[in-house]
Amino acid sequence: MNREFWRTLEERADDPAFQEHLYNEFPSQIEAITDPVARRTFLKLMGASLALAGVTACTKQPAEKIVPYVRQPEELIPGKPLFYATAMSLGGVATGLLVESHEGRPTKIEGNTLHPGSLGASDVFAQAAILGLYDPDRSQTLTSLGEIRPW
Amino acid sequence: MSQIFHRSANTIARVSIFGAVFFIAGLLGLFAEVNRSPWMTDARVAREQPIQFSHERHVAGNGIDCRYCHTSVEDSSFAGIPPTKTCMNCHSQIFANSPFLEPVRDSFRTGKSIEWTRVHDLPDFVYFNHSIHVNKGVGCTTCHGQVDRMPLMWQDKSLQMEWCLDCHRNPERYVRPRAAVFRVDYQAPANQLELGRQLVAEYQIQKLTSCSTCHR
Repeated sequence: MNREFWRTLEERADDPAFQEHLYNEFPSQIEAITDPVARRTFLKLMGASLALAGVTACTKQPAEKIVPYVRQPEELIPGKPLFYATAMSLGGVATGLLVESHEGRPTKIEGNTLHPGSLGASDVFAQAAILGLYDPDRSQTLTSLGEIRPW
Repeated sequence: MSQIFHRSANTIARVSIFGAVFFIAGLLGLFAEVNRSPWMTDARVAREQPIQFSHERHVAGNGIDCRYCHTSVEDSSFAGIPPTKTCMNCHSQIFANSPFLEPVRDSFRTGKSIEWTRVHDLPDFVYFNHSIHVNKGVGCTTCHGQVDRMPLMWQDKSLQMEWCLDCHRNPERYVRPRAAVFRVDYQAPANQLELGRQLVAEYQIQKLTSCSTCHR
């Protein structure tokens, strides 16, 4: 079985621009460091940019927008998270959990102190489940060896 | 051997050395003043908004309390910008056909939010919480100015750190009774310092001037 391994989604997608970037990331700039004349220019430029980096603080911050709700959900206080009680089962046993949510986005899962099976504790699976709620690139279905399979 | 420089060169050298000190001090002073000016801070500059919402009309004209719209000011770090629904509570009946309110009705119909321009924008490296200030007797108008006289909203104070620290070092100069926090017509009494000291003790106001109070 010849499986293809990949590290990033761009690599997986075999984007030619990304492949070129990957190839050029270091080797093509090596001459600038080995050639002494170019190295001095390089150091000069880096020195100047380091010195000028401080000046970037002298800008005004850009104007920001406030985008309120059209119909604000009940019980929601802007700026404060909501906690939803839920449960996750593992090996046929359910553990009570609390999911922290900021403006509808889940950010953290912890155990529910009021649940006798959790008493505030959670396990690695519960902690990691937040990524399953969040990641738009997550697998939409179960696959095995590149094929869609049932459990 | 003749002198290379004329005698007057001594004077010129002295004057330019002393002059440079004043010149640099002047430049620094100018820089500090420009930095404090509305040109940098945008203080007292009215912002353009998608709807010409007038605080003057709604607060002074109609007598609406701050908290009718800024609902979360007592509970949250963010005072809250009202959802379109709050506007429509009244404006489905009053001025229901006004062309100025078309963006409000449009937002309510389509479910797309009104995009307001932020007027009071602290840098992201500053932690600020409305609720603690309001609950310790800092009035709305202490920081936001006479909102009831602003046809278009502007930022009344510089929002610079020296301005924050002024009150954090001397809260007794600014605090008012909790009952008066949301009153826009509140005037500091003649015995403000005396009353302030009493309130600072009563409300257990701490003089928090540690860096990590705000830069956490």
